[in-house]
Amino acid sequence: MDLEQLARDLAELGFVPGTETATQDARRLARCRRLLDVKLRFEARRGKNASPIVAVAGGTNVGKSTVFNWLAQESISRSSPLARFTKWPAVYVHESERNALADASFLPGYQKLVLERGEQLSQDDDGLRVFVKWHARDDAKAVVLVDSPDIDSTHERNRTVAQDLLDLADAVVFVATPEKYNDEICVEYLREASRIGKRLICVLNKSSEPEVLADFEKVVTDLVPKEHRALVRVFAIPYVPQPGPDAQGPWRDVLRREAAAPGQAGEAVRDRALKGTRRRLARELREVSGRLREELSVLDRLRADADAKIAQSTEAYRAFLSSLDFYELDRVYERIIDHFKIPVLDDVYGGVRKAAGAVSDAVARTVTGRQEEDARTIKMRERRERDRAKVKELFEVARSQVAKLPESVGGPLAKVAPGWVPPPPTLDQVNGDVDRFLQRADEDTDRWVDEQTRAHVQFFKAHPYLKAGLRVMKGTFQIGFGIVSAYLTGGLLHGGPIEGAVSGLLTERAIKIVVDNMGGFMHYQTLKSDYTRARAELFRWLLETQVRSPFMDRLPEGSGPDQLARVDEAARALDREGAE
Amino acid sequence: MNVPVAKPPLGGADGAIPIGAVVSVIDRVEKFLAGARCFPKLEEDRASLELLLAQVKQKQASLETPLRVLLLGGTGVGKSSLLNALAGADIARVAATRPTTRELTAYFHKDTGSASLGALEANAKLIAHERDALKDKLLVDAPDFDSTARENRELLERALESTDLALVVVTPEKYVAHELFAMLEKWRDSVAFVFVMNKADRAQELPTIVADLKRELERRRFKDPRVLALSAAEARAGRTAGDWQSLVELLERELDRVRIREIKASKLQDRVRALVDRLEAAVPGDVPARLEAWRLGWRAALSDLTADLGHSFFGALRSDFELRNVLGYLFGTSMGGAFGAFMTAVYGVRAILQPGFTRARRLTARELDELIGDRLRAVDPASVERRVQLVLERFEDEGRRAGFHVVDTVGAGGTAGLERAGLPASVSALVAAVRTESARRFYDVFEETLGAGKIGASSGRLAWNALPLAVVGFAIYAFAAKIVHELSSAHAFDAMLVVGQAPHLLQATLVSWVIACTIQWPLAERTIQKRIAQSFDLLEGVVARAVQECLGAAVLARPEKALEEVAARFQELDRLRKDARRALSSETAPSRERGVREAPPQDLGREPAGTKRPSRRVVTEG
Repeated sequence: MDLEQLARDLAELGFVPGTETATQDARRLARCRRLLDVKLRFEARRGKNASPIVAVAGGTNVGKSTVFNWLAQESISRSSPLARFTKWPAVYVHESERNALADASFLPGYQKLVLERGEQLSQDDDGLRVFVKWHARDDAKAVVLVDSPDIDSTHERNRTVAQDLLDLADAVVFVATPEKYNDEICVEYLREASRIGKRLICVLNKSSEPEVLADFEKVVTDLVPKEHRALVRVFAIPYVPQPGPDAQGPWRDVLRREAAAPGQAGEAVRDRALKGTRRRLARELREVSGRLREELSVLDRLRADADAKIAQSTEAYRAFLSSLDFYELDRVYERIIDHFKIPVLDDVYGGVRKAAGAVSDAVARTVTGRQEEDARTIKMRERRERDRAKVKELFEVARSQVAKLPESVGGPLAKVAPGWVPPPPTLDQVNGDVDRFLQRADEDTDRWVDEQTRAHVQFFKAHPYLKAGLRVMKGTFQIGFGIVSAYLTGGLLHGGPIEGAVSGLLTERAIKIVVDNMGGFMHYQTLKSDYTRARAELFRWLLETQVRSPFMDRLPEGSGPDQLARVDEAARALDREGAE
Repeated sequence: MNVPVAKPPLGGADGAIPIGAVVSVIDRVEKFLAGARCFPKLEEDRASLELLLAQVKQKQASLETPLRVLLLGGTGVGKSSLLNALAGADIARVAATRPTTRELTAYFHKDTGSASLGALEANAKLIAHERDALKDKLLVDAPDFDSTARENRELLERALESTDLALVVVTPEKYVAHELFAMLEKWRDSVAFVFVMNKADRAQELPTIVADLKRELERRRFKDPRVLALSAAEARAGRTAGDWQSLVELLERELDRVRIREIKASKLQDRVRALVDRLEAAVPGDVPARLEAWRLGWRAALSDLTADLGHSFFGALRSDFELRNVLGYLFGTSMGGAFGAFMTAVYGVRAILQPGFTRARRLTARELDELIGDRLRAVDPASVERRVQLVLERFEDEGRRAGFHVVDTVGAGGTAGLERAGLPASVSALVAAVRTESARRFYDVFEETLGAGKIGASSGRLAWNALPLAVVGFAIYAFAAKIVHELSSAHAFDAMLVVGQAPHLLQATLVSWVIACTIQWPLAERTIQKRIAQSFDLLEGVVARAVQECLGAAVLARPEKALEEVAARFQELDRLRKDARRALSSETAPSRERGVREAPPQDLGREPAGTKRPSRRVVTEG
C-alpha cells in the first residue's frame, strides 16, 4: 500500500466547484486527505512500539483543560470560565518521542512550537499551531496526551483542529456535562470517533447524579457497535469546587487507570485505531471516487455530445454541398482536357476559335450592351448566397444545440452546468465568422483548383506514355470518325473534296466535344466529392474554433481516470489491511 | 415606584399606528412577485423572498394578537425552569436528563387565550393564568435546537415564525455555541431578542462571561444586546438575585399594550423594508439601459434575418433565366412604332426558337403568380423555419446577455408567449404570403416599367422611330422627287417608267428599314437589359418588404411585446419602491437612523440607556 502515491493522487483530484454538493464533496475529499496525512502517514513513520495518543475533547467550558491537567498531573493548560478559552492544542509527551514528533508528518500544516507558558495556548493568531510540552517522567510515558480545543463553539477553526486531533488520537477522553451530554455536536463527535475505531473514555464532569450518568451511558453505548462496547468506559466526576491539578477523589484513580495507563493494551488500542482509520478512509475514498466518476461521466458525455453535434452539422453541410453545382471545378477539368490536345489540329481550331470568340464577344458586348454578368457569374453568385445562408444557419444551429447541452445535465451538476454555456456571439460576430469562413473557403478553393491541376499535370508528366496513349486514342476516335463520316456522306468519293472535308471536320468536332465532355463529366464527379469533403472539413474547422472550443474551454476538467483507478485500488488495499 | 420608560410618540395617541399604506405596499409586493419572472436574481431568491413575504403577512395578521414571547435556548440551559420561575408554579417539566422538553408550553392570560398560536396550539401544553400584569403576553417554552432530537428543531422553527420577542436563555457553559449563533443570525431581523444568562449563581467571573457574550453578539451585528444575568432555580426558590427583577419588570410593566403594538408594527415595518430592499437588490437598477441593449440586439437580429430571408427568396427569382427571358420578351415586344414592329418580329422568332420565350408569349397574370410560386417553393421552408427559430433564440440570447431571465419572459411571465409549436404553420404562411405579395407586386412592376416604355412613345418613341421612318421617308421622297422631275420635264412616259420601278422602291425601303433597325437593335437591347435589371431591383425591394411585413405580423411582434412587458414590470417596481419608502418613512420617521436613537421602541433587545440602569438596581435591591 503506497501511501505517498495515494497522497499525490488525492492532491490531484478535485470536484467541480459550485455544484449543489460542492461543500459536502470538498469536505469529504479534505477529510480523506486529513485521514491520510494526519494519521496513516504519521503512523507509518512512527513505528510499532510508540505509545498511544490520548486526546481530551469536549464542548466549551466542560472542563477539558482541567481533565487534561489531571491526566498529566501537572498544570499545563490553563482552565478558564470563559468559553473557547483554549485556542491551541497542547501535546504532553515523553522525550523519547522527540524524533517522531519532530517529523514533518506530525500534524502537517501546523506550526509546531514548544509550550513554555500556559498562556500561550490562549493567544489568538492566524494559521494553525500545536504546542508541545516535553517531559521526562517515566510514570507518564505510557501515553501521549493531547488537549483539544472545543468542538461546539462559534470558533470555526477550533472544530477543524478538534477533527484533526481526533484523527490523530488512538483514544479519546470525551468530557461532557449534564448540560451538554446529549448535544448533537457532541454525539456526532462520539459517533465519528467510534467509527474510526478510537477507544472511548467518556467522562461526565460536574455531576454525580446516577440518573444522568445512566442516560449518558445509554447515549454512548447506542453509538458504539455491540462488539466494541467492552472497550468503552463511561464514568462521572462530581462537581469539584476547586479543580486544581491536585484535586483529589476516587474518580482520579479511575481516570488515570482508564486513560493514562493503558499498560499492555496500548498496542491493541493503537492497532484498532489504525485499522479503523484505514476502513474509514477506504469508505470515504470509495464515496469520493464514486462522486468523481459520476462527474467525469457527465463531462465525458457532454464532450461526446458536443462532438456529435459538430459532426452532425458538418455532415448536413456536406449533404447540402453535394446538391450544389461548382463552376470552379470546370476550371480544373478544362485545363486537364487541355492536356489531351491533338497538336496542330486542335491548335489550329483553338486559334480560330479564340479569334472567333474574341470577335463574337466584342460583337455581343456591343449588341446586347451586357451590363449584367453572364449566366455563370449570376449562378455562382446565387450559389454563394445560398451557401452563405446555409453556413450561417448550420453554424447557428450547431451553436444553439451545443449551448443547450448542459440543460440535459441532472444531479448536483445541474446547478453549475448553465455556466458552461459560452456567451452567445453577437450578430456581427456571427456574420463576421461566416464571411471569414467563406473567404477562407474561396481561398482554399483557388488553392485546391491549382493543386488539382498541378497534380494532374505532374501525373501526366510522370506518365508521358499514358498521356500519349490517351491522346492517340482520342485522335483515332476523332479523326477516324471524321474520315469515315466523310466517306459515308459521300463527300470524298463523289461530292468532291470540299464537301468531304467539311462533313469530315464537322464530325470530328462533334466527336471531340462528346469525348471531352464525357471525360470531363466523369472526372467532375470525383473532383466534386473530393471538393465537398475538403470544404466540409473547413466548415468543421469553423465549428470547432467558434463553437466547440469555447464550450470545451468552459467545461471543467474532471478528474483523471488513472488517479481514480489507483484510488479505488488503494481503497481495496486499505479495506484488506483494516480488516479485523 | 418605577420611572416610566420614555417612549417617543408614535402614530396615534391610543397606540394605533396607521398601517394602511404598509398593507397596500405588501399587497403590491405580492402582486409584483407573482408577475415578474424576468429578473434572474429575483428568480434565484424567489423561494426566500416568498418565505419573507409569508412571514410579513403573518406579522401583519398578528398585529392585534398578544405579544408572543418565546423562551429559546440549547438543551439543559433551563428554559423550562425559567418559565416555571416566571409562572411561580411547576408548569413545564424539568429534569436532569437531556433533552427534557419535547413540546411547547404556552403560558397565557385566560382572557387573552392561546388562539394566536395558530396551528401550533395542537403541539402545545396550554396553561392559563389570571395575572393581569402578564395579560397581553403569551409566554411559550420551546424545546431545544441542539440536542439529538431533531424533531425539536422543526417545532422550534415553526414557533419562531410566530414569535415577536425571544428570551434567549444561555448558561456560562453554553453561551457561544455554534448552533445557537447560526439560529440567532437567521432570525435577527424578524424577532426581537433579550438574552438571559441563566445559572449565574454557579458561574465564576460572571461579568467577564457576560462581557464575552456581548462582544460575540456585537461582532454579529446585534447592537447593544441586553443581557440579564440571573438564576431561574434561585428565583423559583424565592431568592431573587441578579437581574431577575429587571426581567419581571420587562415582562410585566415595560411591555404594555401600546409598547407591544409598537414592537409589532415596527418589526412589521422592518420586515417590509427588508422585503422591499431585497426586491430592490434582486432587480438591477439599470434595467432601462439593459432593456435598450436587448432591444437593439434583437432589432439587429431581426433585420439581419429579414435581409437573409429576402436574399433567399429573391435569390430564387434572380437566378431564374426563364423569368429573364419573360421580361426580355415583354420589354422587347412592347416597343411600338416602326422599330417596335422590328423588335416584335425579332422576339417573335426567338419565341418560336427558344422555349422560354414561347411560354412568355402567352403569359398571363395568374400564370406569372404560379411561376413565382414555383420559384419560391424552391426556398426550403424547413430552413426558413430554422432561421426564424434561431432568431427567436437570438432574442433570448440577447436577453440573457443583457442580464434578464428570458425563458420566463417568453413563457409564463411574458405576453401570450411565443408558441414555438405554432411556428411551422406561421412559416408556411409566411412563404405563401411572400409569394402572393411578390407575384402581385411583380406584375405591377411589369406594368410600371412597360408603362414607362409606352409613355415614352409620345415624345421619346417618335425620336426612337425617327431613324427608320426617316429612311423610309427619304426613299419615298426620292422616288416622288424623281417622278415630279420626270413629269416636270414632260417626259410623262418616263414618269410611268419610274412608277413601274415601285416594287424595287418597296424592296429598297424595306432593306433600308431593316438596316436602320439593325443599327438601332443593340441600343434597344441595352435598354431592355437595363429595364430587366431595374425591375429585378424593384422586385428585391418588394420581396424584402413582403418578408418584413409577413415576419412582423406572423411571429416576431411578440418579443417586442415581451420587451414592453419587462419595462412595465420595472416601472411598477420603481413606483412600488417609492411608495414603500414614503409609507415606511411617514410612519416611523427616524427608522432609517436606528443605530443613532437612544431608546427606540423596537430595540427591546438592547441595553436601555445608561441612566435607567441604576434606578432599576435600586428597585431590585429595594
